[in-house]
Amino acid sequence: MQAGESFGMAFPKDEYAQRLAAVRKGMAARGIDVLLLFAPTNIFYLTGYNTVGYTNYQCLAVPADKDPVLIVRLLERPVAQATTWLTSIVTYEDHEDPAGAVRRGLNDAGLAKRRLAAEQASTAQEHGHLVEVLGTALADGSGLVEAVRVIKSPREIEFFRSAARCTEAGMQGALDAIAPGKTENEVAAECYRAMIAAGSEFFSSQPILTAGAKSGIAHTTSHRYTLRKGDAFLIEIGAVWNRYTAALMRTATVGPASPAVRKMYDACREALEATIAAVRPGVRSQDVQAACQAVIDRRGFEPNFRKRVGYSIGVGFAPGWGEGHIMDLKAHDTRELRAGMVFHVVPAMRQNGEYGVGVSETIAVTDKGAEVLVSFPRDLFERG
Amino acid sequence: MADIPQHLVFSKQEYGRRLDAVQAGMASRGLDALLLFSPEHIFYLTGYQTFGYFTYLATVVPAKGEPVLILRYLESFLAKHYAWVRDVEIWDDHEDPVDVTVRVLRERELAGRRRIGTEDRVLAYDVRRKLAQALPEAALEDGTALLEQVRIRKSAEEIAYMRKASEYSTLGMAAGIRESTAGRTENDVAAAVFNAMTRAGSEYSPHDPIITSGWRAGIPHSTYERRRLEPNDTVLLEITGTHHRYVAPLMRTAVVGAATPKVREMAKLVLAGLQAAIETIRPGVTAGEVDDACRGIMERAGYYENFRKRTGYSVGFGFPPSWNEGHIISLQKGERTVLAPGMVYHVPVALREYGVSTVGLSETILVTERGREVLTTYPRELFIGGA
Repeated sequence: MQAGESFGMAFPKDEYAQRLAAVRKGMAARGIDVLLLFAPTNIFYLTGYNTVGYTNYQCLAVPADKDPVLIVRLLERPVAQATTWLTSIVTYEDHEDPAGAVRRGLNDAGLAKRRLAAEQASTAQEHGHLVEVLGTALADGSGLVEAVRVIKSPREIEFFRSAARCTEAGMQGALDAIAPGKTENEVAAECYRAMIAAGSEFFSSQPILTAGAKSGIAHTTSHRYTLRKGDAFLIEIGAVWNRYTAALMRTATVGPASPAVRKMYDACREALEATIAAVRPGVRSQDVQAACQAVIDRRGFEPNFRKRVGYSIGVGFAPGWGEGHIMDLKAHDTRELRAGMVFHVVPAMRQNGEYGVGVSETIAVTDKGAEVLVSFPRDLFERG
Repeated sequence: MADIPQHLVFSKQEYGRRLDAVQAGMASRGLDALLLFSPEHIFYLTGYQTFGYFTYLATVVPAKGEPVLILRYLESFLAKHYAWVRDVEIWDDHEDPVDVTVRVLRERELAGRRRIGTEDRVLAYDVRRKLAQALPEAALEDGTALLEQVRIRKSAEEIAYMRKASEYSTLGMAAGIRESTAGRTENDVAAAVFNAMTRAGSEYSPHDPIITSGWRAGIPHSTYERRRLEPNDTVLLEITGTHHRYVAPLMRTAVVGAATPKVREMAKLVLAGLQAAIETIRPGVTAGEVDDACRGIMERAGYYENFRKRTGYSVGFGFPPSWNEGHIISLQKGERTVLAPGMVYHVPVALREYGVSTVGLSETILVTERGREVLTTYPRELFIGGA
C-alpha cells in the first residue's frame, strides 16, 4: 500500500471499543460468554469489516473477555485486514466447511467450552449445521448488537450528512432528466451517474425510479417505460457513505400535475411535516404514526395508506438500507423514541395502477425534536 | 381504481413446466406442502417480484394445484402485476407474518400431521423455530434443493434474457474501460458503467459493478471508494447487465498507462486459465474437472497463492445481494456435479499481487448439447489505455 492511502477503518478505535463494551454489557445480562454474529451489518458495526463478498459465510465470535475472532473465506483475508482493527482472523477455503473454521477459531482462542449464543437471524441450515459441528446448543443471542446500533453517535450522523450530499446530487440529476419521450431508464442512468460521481459507494439498495401506471404499484422499478405527458414519476434513492444511507423520496410529473395527483401529493407533504413535528425523545412509535395517519384520514386518503410511516436507518448492506427490524414507526407500537435514533419517514400513497406519489426525509432525533439530514425542496416537481 | 396491468415475463407454459417439476420433486419425497421463503424461488415459480423482500415474504406450494403467495399489504399489488398466481394472502405491518402463514396452512388443511418442506438455506432460524412451535403435529424438513435442482438448468426463454443482459454488460464494460484513465476516480468509472448499462435498458441489478484500482485492486472484494487512478494502475471491472433479473457477468482489466512485466505475465496466465476452463466445459465432465483445468495452470506456473479460489459458479438470475448460484454448484476442487446442457457458469479467473495489483478476465458460458457457448461478447484481452 502507498503511504497515506489505506481503506482505513470507518471509525477511530475508541468508538469500536465503546460499541463492544455496550454489547458485552448486554451479553453479561443474558449470561453469555461468547456471542456468534453473522449479519454483515452487525459485524461491520463492531469491527469495520467492509466487503462486497459478504454473501460468503462469515462469523464474528465476540468473547466477554478477549478480542473478537473473525471467521471468513480465505479470499477475504486481505480486505478484512485492510478494513478492521482485528488481529485474529481465521479463514476457510472454498472446498472446506466454514463451520469447521468456526470450531477451529473457538478452540484456538480457548472459547469452545464457554456458554455460547448465536444470532438467530442466521439461516436454519447454518444454525443447525453449526450446532452439530460444535456439539453444543447455542443460546439466543439475537438483538444485542441491534440494541446498541439503534442509537447513532455524532460520527455516524456525520456519515449520514456526507451521504446526503450525494443523495441530493442524484435527486437533482434524476429530476433534470425527466421529459416526455425519455425512458425511465434514461432518468435512472442520470441518477446513478450523479450520485456515484459525487462519491457514493456501493448501494445498500439501488435507486428506485418508476413512472406512469407502474408508479401506482408499490415497489416496482425502472423497466424501460417511455414517459408521457401527465405521468407521475416516483423517485426513492439513497446514496451511501461508509455504509450509511441517506434516503430520500420525491415526486415529479411529466408536464403539469393533474388535480388528483396534486391533491394526493399535498396530503403526503402535510403528513410528512406533521410526522416530523411529532418526533422528539420520549414519544412512542405509535404516536408518530398517529400524527401521520391523522392528516391522511382528514384528507380522505385512508384507503390509500395502510403501512408504517417510517423505519430506523443506519448501516446497510444490500438488499436493504433499512433497520425496520430494529425499530419502526407503526400502529400498536409503544416503544419510545430516543435522541440519536435516525429514521426514514416516508408517507407515500398510490392510486393503484394509475399513479403513485410520496415525499420523505431522513431525520435524526435530537434532544429537542428532529433534524432533517438531507436538504432538498419538498415541491411536487413539474418537468418537461 | 384502475386495473393493475399484468406483466408476466415468461410464458404460461414455462411457469407450468416449473411448477410440474417442483411438484414432481415434492411427490418423490412425499411432501404435502413446500414453504418457499427465497425471493428468487418465489419469482421463479410464481413470477412475483419485488425489491421489498427485506420484509417477510412466503409462498405455500401444495402437492397439487396452485401456490399461495403470503405478502405484506404494500407488496400485494405487485402480485397482480407480475404473478400468474391469483391466491394471495395479506399481512399488515402490525401483525406477525408467521402467524398469518400458520393460519393459511390451517385453512388449507396443511397444518395437521403433514410433511412440510421448508427452505432452510434461506429461512431465518428464529422463523423456523416459530413455525415448528406453531405446527407441533407437522414434520418439517429441509426442501431447499427442490427449487435449486430445477432452476439450475436454463430454458430457451431464460437464455434469451441472459443474452439481453450480456448486451448491457458489453456496453457497460466499454464505457468503464474508456473512463479508466489517469486522473479519473474509481467512482467516475463506476458512474460511467451504471450510466451506460441503465440507459441501454438494464434494470435493478442483483449486484453493483465491482470497480477497484491500483493497490486496492489487489484486495479481493474491495470496490469503488473514490480513489484517483494513477499511471501503471490496474483497474478491475466486474459487472453485469440485468434483464428481467437475469444476468451475464463479465470481468475485464484495464491498465492505466503501461503494464508492468508482472502484470503482463499474470495476464497471460489468466487468459490461458480461462481458455482452459472454457475448452473443458461440455456435458458429462464434472465441475471439479473444469476447476482442475484452470487451477492446474496457475499451480504449474507457481501462482497458486495468487489464485487460491474456485474457478467459477453457476449463474442465471439473482436478487441482491448476489448474482451468483455458487451455493448450488461451484466449479471447485473435488466437486462431482456433472455438467449438463442448459447450465450456465460464470468463470472469473483472477490473479492478485495482494495489495499491489490484480488481473482478471471472465466469461459467462452456456453448456450446450455438444460443448459450450460463450454468452458474453467482449474482446478477451488486457486493455492498456492512455495515461
